[in-house]
Amino acid sequence: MPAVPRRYRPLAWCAGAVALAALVAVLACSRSAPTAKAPEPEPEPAPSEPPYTGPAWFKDVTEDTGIRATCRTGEEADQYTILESLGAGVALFDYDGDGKLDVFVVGGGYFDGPTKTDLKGHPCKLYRNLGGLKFEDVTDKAGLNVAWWYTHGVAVADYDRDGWPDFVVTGFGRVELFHNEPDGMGGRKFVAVGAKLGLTATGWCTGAAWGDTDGDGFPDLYVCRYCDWSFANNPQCKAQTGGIPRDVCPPQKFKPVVHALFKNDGGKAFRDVSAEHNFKPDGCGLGVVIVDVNGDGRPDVYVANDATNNFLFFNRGGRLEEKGLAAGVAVDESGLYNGSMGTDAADYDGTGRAAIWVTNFQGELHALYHNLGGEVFDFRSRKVGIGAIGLSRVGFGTAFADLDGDGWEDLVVAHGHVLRHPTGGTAKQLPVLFHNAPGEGGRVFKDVSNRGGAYFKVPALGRGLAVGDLDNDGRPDLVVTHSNGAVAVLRNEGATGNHPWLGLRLAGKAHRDLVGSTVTVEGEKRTLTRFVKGGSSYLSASDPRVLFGLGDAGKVKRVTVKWSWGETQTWDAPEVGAYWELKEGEKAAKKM
Amino acid sequence: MRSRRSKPAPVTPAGHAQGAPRPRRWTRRRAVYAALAVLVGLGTWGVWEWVRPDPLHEARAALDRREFQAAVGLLAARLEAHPNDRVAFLLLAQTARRASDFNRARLIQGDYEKRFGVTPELEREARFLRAQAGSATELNRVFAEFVTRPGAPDAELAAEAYIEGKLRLVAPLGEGRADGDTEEAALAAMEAATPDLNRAIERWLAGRPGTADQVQGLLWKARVALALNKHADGLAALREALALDPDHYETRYQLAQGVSQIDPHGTIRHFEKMHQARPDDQRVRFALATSYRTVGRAADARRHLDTMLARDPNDLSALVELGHLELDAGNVAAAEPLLKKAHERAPNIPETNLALARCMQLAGKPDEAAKYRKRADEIAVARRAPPKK
Repeated sequence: MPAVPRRYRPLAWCAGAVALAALVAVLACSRSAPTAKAPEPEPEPAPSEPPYTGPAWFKDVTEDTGIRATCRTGEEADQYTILESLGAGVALFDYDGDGKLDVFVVGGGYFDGPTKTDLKGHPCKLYRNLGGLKFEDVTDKAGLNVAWWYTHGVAVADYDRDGWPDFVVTGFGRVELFHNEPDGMGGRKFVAVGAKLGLTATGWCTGAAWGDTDGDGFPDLYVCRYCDWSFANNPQCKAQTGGIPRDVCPPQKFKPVVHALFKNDGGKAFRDVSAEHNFKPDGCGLGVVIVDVNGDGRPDVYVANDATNNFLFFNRGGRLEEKGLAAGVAVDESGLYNGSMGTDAADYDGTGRAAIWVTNFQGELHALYHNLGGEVFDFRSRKVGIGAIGLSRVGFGTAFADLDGDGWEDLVVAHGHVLRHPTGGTAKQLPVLFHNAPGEGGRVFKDVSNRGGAYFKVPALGRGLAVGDLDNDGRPDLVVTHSNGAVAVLRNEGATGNHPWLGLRLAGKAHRDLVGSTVTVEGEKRTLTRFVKGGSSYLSASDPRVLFGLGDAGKVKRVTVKWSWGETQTWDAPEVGAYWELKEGEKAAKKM
Repeated sequence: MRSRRSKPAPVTPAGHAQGAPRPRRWTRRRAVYAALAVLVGLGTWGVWEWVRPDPLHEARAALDRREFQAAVGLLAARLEAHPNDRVAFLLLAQTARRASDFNRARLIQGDYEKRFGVTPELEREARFLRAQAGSATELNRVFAEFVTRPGAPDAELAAEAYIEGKLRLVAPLGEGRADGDTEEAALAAMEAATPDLNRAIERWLAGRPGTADQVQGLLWKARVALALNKHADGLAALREALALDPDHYETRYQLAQGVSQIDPHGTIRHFEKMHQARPDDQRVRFALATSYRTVGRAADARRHLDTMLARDPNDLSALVELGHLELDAGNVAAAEPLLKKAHERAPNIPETNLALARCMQLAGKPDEAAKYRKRADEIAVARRAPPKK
């Protein structure tokens, strides 16, 4: 650039100054046009635990097991009924007495006929455990190739005390009881006996649980009913998301229906005694667990109701007294009922008392009702860190289980929305593993889903969930059902490390029902308490055996069982790393 | 007579003889200098005109930043110096309206009319005010006459008034989610309003390229999406707004709340950032405390609640939340005075009654707990009941 002649320099300075001033003024006064920018990144997370690099706790082994079951809801008919939002469950029990857990999968149903308003059942399936996590479909052989109706739940018990587990299947308009009998060829089969024994139920039957509520030794059956939906009462509901014309109706559009309690008359007959217990039609029942929560040795009944107060029936010696609200387990911390689905109970903090756990709807925290004793509970979900997973998920199947064998009961939850177009997310949702860990002021639950393996990284429409040791290795495995999807079998492979464990199978005299019993293992350093439960989770039934991860409890000194009929018995320390049978009245534990 | 040349003229350093006739080149240079001086003067004046503190000018700049309160102050200063400045008067009325101070806007419009009579500008501003205040008829007219008409005067301001007024009707801020049929009706109303709202927002975004106005447009977009329960779209708009102005406090607050259901830890990080920026903001401090409590960080929650109560021992929200925190920890004796104090201050809201019910329950007083629960239920029922005519 040529130099400015000396004589013009003042002019140039002035011009420059004016131009600069003008430029500054223009710049100062002009609106700054925004430029396209990338969306604001979330603030950097605070430094926390290092990423998990250990082995996955669970491996999805479904493909190798031979289990090919699916649960259907009929969604493809586009009826958008509330019926199809519930899904179906799964049961783990040893139906043939070979010491290995078999798997029964509830099939669900679909809509048929020219108007797609005929309810049809999708077949339920029974898979026999061959060992080595291989299963064989024995549905036909076991006599279960029957005309299924639209089914939801399953509950297992030896109702007639013949030493063999029977089961009931619930569904829309009907329940059926299947009796476990010899098949005449050395095996076992099931025979439908509901009608013969008077165990018939109308209405929409969902979760069910067995437990000897009247102390006669025979398990009675609690059956949840949901609401008064039918095709004659099938309103069309608009989606909650703008621009979408239709979605499944919420339960608030319907009326709750009274639940049923079937008294078991000596295994010979059943009768509904709900009126005698003053049951009222004020709960859309889904999940139910029968367990002794007040430490009186009798099985109490907790019911997870959808969009209505949850029930807690304290067992007053055969009379069930509903005290959910007074006990602090009917509503959440804000005094509001939740959309409750799944439930379980456990001593999560070493107090020896059963806390109640409930999985809830979107916008609500899953509820941990801490048991303070004296029939008083307190909503402690925030304190124990449950809120860390957010409020966007809809919880269904769930279970307390000591997944890593450290002596503390962890939690697993299957999630999946009931709406096709949920607000704030997708219908498929991630399952969650909560690890029971020491924390601020007591035990807390940390979300360790990142340790769960591939299954825990894929959103799904989770529904039923059962926990059980499928391969008898002392590690609790999981079986999860999905609406309109395949059942998943998850083998616990990496969770437990080298913690010792102890498996117990309890047996009352003359096959008396055990629900409500409490088992304690006294170790050198701490005492572990587990409960014998009926029902639990969501539409599902878990391993009836009691599995203790011993963690740092130290050498086992003794095992004590407080039977649900009030007696207590103690056994000397059995050898760890094995399953033992503890029979009422027999001094020695028997290795299985 | 002395010759004018009798004495040699002194020579200047430049070599020109003083008193000698000036050469043409010198004259030209002087003219150039003079012109230059004039130019410098003009330039300086021009620059001064640009940069001198002018309340009206500064008020406009504040409005570009959407700093309405600052603009009101500046315009008031301007009017103090120039009481008959019509432009400033009208701008003041407009600013009060844009800040949703409708009563003040009406008063200023009235003063304007007394001083200057009814002008077309005033009429337009009065219509915008009626629209923004939620007059359904005026909203429709403003939309048709200004927002959708190409070249309409003040079209963006009309769009702003329309958006604010329409949202006031169909998606009011601070309202809890309705139940059942009411919720469906609200969603239906929002759906019906959405196309026009989106059109107005697009017009605003196209015509107001300033950062603050763009952010505002995106905030409206987010509000519309969230009212339609399209959370992903709402959060995307909020994130876009925050990318334009990472220090935009309200946007970050809304984003923090928006992600609370899906990412409580993300919520905490947003609130922590806001708390760092404005440590005295009690709203954010409380939000941070509740967020900490939700994820089980009781000590952090307590720290903030203690600070709030140190500043204001009667802070109702902090009393209730700290009461809950004490109950979480099993400290019933510590919780009871906090919750009783909260209840004394606000006996007719469910929150204080329910918190006290929880406390009484844990204190082994089930009858008292039931009493407070019942009261909370009664209040909730009364709130749901339609207003008496």
